[in-house]
Amino acid sequence: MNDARRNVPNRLSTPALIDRSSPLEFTFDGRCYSGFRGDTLASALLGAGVRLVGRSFKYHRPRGVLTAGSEEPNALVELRSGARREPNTRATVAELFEGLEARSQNRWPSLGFDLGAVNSLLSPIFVAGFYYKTFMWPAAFWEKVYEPLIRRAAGLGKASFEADPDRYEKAHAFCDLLIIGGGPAGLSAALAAGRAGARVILCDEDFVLGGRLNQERYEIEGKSGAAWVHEIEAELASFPEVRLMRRTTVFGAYDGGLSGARTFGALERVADHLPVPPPHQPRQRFWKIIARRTVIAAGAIERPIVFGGNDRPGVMMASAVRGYVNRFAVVPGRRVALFTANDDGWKTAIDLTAAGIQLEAVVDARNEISPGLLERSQCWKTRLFLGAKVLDAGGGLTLERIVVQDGQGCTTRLSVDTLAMSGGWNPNLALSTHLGGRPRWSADISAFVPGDLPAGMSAAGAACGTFALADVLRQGAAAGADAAVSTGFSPANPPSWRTPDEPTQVSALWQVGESTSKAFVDFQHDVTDADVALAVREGYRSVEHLKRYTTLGMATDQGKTSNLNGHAIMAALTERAIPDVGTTTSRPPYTPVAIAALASQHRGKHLRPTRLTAGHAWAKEQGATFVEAGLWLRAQWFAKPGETDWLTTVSREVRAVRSAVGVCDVSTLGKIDIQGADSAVFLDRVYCNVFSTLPEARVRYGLMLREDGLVLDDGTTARLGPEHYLMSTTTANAAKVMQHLEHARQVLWPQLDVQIVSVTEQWAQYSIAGPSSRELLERLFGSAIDLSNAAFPYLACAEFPWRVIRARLFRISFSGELAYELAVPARYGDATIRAIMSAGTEFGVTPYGLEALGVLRIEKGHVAGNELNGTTTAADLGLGRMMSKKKDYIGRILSARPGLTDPNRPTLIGIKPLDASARLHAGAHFVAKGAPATLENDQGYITSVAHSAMLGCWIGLGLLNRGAERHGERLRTHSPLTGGDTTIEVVSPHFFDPQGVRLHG
Amino acid sequence: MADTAFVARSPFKSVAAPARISVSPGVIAQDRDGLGLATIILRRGQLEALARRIGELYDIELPRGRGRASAREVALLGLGPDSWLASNEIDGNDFAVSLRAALGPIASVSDQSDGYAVLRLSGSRVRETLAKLIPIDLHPRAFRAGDAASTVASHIGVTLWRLDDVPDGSSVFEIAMFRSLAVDFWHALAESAAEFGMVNPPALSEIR
Repeated sequence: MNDARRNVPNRLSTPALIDRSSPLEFTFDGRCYSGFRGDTLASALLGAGVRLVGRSFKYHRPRGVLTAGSEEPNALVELRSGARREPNTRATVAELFEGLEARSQNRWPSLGFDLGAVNSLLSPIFVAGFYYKTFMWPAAFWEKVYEPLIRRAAGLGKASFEADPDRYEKAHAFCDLLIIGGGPAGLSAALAAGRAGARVILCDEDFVLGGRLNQERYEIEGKSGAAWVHEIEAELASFPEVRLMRRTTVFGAYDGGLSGARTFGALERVADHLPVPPPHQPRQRFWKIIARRTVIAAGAIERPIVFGGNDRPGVMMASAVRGYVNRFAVVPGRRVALFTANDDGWKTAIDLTAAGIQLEAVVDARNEISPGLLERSQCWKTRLFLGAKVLDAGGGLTLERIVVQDGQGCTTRLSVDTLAMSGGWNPNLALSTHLGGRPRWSADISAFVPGDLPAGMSAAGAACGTFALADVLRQGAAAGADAAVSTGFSPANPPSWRTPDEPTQVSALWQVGESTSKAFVDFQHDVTDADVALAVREGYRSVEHLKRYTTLGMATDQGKTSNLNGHAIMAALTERAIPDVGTTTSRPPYTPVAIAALASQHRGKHLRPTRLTAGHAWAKEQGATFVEAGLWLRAQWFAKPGETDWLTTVSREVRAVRSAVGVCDVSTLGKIDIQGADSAVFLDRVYCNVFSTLPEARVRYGLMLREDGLVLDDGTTARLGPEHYLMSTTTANAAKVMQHLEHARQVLWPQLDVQIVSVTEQWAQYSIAGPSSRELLERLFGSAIDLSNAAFPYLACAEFPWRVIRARLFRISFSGELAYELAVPARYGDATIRAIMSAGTEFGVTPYGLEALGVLRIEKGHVAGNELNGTTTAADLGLGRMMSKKKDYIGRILSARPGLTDPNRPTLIGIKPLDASARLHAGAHFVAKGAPATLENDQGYITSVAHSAMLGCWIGLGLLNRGAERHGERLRTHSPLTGGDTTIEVVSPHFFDPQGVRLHG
Repeated sequence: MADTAFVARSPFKSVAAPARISVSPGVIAQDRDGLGLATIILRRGQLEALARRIGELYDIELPRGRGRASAREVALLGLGPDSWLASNEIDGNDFAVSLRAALGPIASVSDQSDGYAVLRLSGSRVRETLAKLIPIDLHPRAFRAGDAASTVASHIGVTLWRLDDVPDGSSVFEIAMFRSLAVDFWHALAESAAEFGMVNPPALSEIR
């Protein structure tokens, strides 16, 4: 049957917003169809006679297209294929393009024959609360059995599980007035404010502006709605300060923005309507819009009526039925009936008749209608049922008949394939509630309207319950003009337009209580009126509890078509008025937003920035392997051809430093310039040891405590002049130390004359270490500086002209060898490392990386980040004697707390395995030999390990209870993570050259 | 005598060429490598002395708050309370040395010529490109010539200022970021500008 109709478009030849000269081929479930440019997938499917488009979430009921907008709960499909597969897309907003592939969801083996539909037969079991009640026992079944089962059964489409091949962008926009919605209210607001010169942004989720004007047969100033929209659009486009954003959904309202402005999140679907994004274009763009004023002109959403079989394909919203006729020239069915309780629904009857479509019946729940409508219906020779209701919409996969019960209780069966229903209109409140606005009940329209809106925000048109077009236009223009005035512009009189009068009488109809078949409230989550009744029987009275118990309104459509019906049914069952029952508030996003759009450019390795040193290009040329150190990339080691094992490489680098000379890029260490008359005083207060006594041209190792007495950071500070110091920090703590110093300078001691600034990036710095380091530097500098031990001893520093720059040299050592650090302006960092390598050739200079640096410092027992871990005191690290008793400093008082001076605290030790071939693992805990590995027996842990090239075995540093006095003891290390126990001996942390002879060489 | 083996390397030296080179580029990004830069931080109670000295030295009115003032080859830009970024088109690293000598006990000077990477951005689509990177309003009325801001661009801390318009009336911005982030910033800029077309003419330091 469907096959016979395939590719026979159910199209009219009436004027419409489709381009009949641009036919587009697309597939649905593998079959080819055709539509036109300007179609949505839904209009193209309906135009091709496809009425069954999906299966429902829980009962796998056949479902068709319900609406013509973003509120669609039923027609959810999967678009595209491969890595671009995109589940749960609403066919009603998916713009048709050539070659579009769409598939139905939630069905197996096929859409027409779905085994999951057996759920519908079991529906007495699958009531609200089913999961809560059923999958509680046995508890052990949850993870292994129930959850996988539920996950397989639930959900709709499936993710591609492949990386998204498209780009996404983030962008920022600012305006005086943001208008949300490009229908008659939004366009008139934009015109009023735009003419005044205000910066206006108008966003509309559709790909054509006009809103309902495109779906109705309105006249404005004697012109069609679409013609009017074209005129206004052209004028708006001529204003340089007005930006029209089509295909853009404002999905959330947020705080933030200066002087009363608000921030809005918006999603622009830049290339969703194309097979793939054009070159250099993102698929979608996430906008942050900061607006001083906002007009919500987001229109209204038509309510379904809750009656038996109201979800059957062919039952549609009345506004959608005429929308498809008017905008897309699509005939939704051959035999159409209307079920309404308000005048607006009658527009469908009028428009269909005008388009030459036979209307089988009008069922109006009201006992009386206006004489005008009565007269019209008589001309149409349509059966009219007043005071009547549709009890049931029956059929198989699509609608075949309805059962109408009139005011006298007589029932009539009518053979129809389409039923247009209208329960009235709900103003689109979503964005009005994101910032805490509470909706207000309007008895006039039997719906909630925006209540008190946050400052700077207003609503116009259907979004605030105004439905007559003349009023909508007037209200929009006034809102636009108001916004212009309040942002400092002087608009002329707001524009006004003439439109014909229209009837707008409304009578609320929520539910047909007499229905006996399944009647849906929430289509997407398969919540029926019986589920609402069950919730009431179980004692739920709050709409928030109703929501959570039945999942009403918790689907991706957030209950746009269902919430109020559910709340009204609950109100009736609990004999309360609707405003007393209240309504739930919505939260962002208004419609689903892809995570990719929020991540925008920041994905993969661009999730966070990467910092490169000035010597990076050189290191890369040397084949360095890099490792992340915070945001920095640092050379980890420099493998030579033939070296297949990192340990071989690292050991070679260590031996080169110990026996000849090595060079290492240490530019990432933090460098802070400290100047001012009180800089010496300042340093005495931030370091626990004394710096005011440091002579000029000398360097001292410093230890900095936190206010709580624990160690913050360590490093060397050089005195460059009487009032000028240069502090170095660890790479990891550079920003933290800078903040700490700024806090001390600005908050603790604003009276001190001290100026600090980070100069980390100004200087490229290289460590040149090893017995031949002096010879290398003498070769490099020639006569530029005297490096003899007398002229430039350990802990000396100097700034001197060298080649075209001023270089700085520090005689400091982390490796324990005779060593220097050379700092040059970073632009010359690349040239300098090349010069060092060239000068060092004859001395066997070897570049070494972070890993060798680690081995060298562990061999020397120097602490680093693993030991400066926020739990250690100076004494724990064997640095207690650095804490000056002659002065005050940050952390002094609290470092004397009993807990921090307890002699039983873990302190720094060295460890060696008894079996020289055994490997050590950082993180392993110390326990006594033979004692079980329990928390009570824990005596400390290993902080750092390295394979010592010099000692030929693994060594480590650790923190052991009373460790300093336990050298020589044997303990077991226990590492549940890496497995295996090792017996170790506690030794001094100074493994290599404990007297420091080499340092002074 | 020029030291040919010992040359400066711009932080943008290794960046990829723009994704799309257009004959009518929407964005022109010029490396300002070689610009002399120095931070000036006021010593206690020396504001008026500094303003006077800056006036004498460069004929520039010291900007108070965020903003930039320039005369001939020198410019001063307010970075925060009591701190400025000074720039010099000619002197390179020597600028900080002479500035320190000239300001003496009035302010502390630190050379930053190598610490920042600076780009000059212009072209008809420069604002649309920057809108993808920077969360502040760059509308001509909101961010005027001489305005400056410290903000973030695609997770990267930047300082941005607007120069006087070029004769054809189009706007020109300069943007500074820490040198180590130059390559990452360039990636974000090039991606954002790709749809408009971007060119990167050689740095002045390479032409000289």
